[in-house]
Amino acid sequence: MTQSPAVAFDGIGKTYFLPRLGRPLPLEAVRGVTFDVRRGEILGLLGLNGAGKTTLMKLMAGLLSPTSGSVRVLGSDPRDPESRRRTGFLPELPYFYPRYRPAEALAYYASLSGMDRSAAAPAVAAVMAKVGLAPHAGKRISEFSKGMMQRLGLAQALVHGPELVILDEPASGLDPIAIHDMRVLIAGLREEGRTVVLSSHSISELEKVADRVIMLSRGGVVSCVESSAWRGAEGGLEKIFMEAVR
Amino acid sequence: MTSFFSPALRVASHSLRLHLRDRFFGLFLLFSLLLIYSSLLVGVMAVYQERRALMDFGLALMELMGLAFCVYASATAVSSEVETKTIYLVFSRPVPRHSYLLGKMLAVFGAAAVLLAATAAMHSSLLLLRGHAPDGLYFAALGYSWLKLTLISSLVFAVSMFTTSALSSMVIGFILWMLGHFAPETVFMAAQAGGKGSLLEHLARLIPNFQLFNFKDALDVHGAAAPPFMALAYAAAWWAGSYGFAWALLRRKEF
Repeated sequence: MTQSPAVAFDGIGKTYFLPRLGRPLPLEAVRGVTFDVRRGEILGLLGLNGAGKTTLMKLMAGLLSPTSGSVRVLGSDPRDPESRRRTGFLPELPYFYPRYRPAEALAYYASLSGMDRSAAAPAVAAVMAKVGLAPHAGKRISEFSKGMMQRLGLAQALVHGPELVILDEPASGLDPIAIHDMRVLIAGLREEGRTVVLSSHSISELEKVADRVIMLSRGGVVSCVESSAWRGAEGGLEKIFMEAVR
Repeated sequence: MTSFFSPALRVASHSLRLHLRDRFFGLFLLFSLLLIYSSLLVGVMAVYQERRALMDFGLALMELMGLAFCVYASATAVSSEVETKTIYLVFSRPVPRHSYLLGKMLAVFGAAAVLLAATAAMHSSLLLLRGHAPDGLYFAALGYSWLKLTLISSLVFAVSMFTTSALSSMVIGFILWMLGHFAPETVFMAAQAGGKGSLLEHLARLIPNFQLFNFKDALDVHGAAAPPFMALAYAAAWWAGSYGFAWALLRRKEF
């Protein structure tokens, strides 16, 4: 029996209404998007600024409601508490309370995910070791570098052991070594059997880690490409993307 | 029931810790310490009414410091999380919005209690230094002040759900505070202007009546404060109304 997809978008549309004097201004961020995310894969969302990547991620994380169409996450409505318990979300450029130490912040988010203290303590220690923050456990978050903040962001998305991990621009603002470390961590999630959806403007990063890439332009899907299509091909994923969006 | 209160208490516990670690909380405490001890001068000038002067000045100062903190904390409780996007980390988890809002409100109520307790300890030490021991009425006055502060906090929470900035929420909060101390007079003038039973009079009745909580007036002169149970029920009604209004707006918001 085939497993249901981790995420299923069916004709999804999302329109924002920007406040203006008189009538609100509609802004269509996403229209008619249909695709599935297979269980256990790393799916990349690639597109220019304003293509709709973050909107799709927020729809998956249950932060937004669609204007049209439907989205199912792990078989449920993403706004259901049970669905959110099984999902981890890393927003772009995450922020944490600067006076906290990392374990305090992670313990709080673990508790919000429904973990009691006895389960949260070892989970926090394990995820800090996994993302390489254990040596910095004694520091306050205000002393963290950009790379450490992103690691902490990834840690809060993983601390409760989610099946689906949604990462919005996880390599944003990182130096080359930090980008490499983040890529290794993300690839490791696939080895653990988790499903990962990540967005990026960086074609080279997605090329190295994704199993499949969905290309977005002006709120719509323009192409869906398996890794076999760009590996070994001249020009790689960049050439495919340029042809798709022009 | 557990799924409502459990996340609310977790949010409340975390938010209370943040309030107590906030540098503004420390600044309010320090400022209170300076003002309370400078009230020694007021007591000296009052000569034969030193106890009355120290009591009145001290209780009023504590309430004003509490007001400043509560309005600031309530106006920024949710808006700061929206600006920093930490709200994504909360709402992407199984935390119902009504539980989140309750937790945030409880945290401000708790921080107000801590601030009042700390400033009361400072003030009590000053009174003891001058040979005037605080009595049961003094602590009752503090309790009424706390109810007033929680009432204005709940109103500012509700206002912060539709204003575009924390500053405007704070300004509206201070205006409501001032109007609330003249609520019966405002209702009377509205009835005079618009006629008894008019829309204007009904709108004026929507202003909370803070005179019901002026227990400190009873310390030496009989005041207009309501009996304790009535004051608590009145405050609870405003908490519930403000919470309901704030939740009705928060549940429709997208971030």
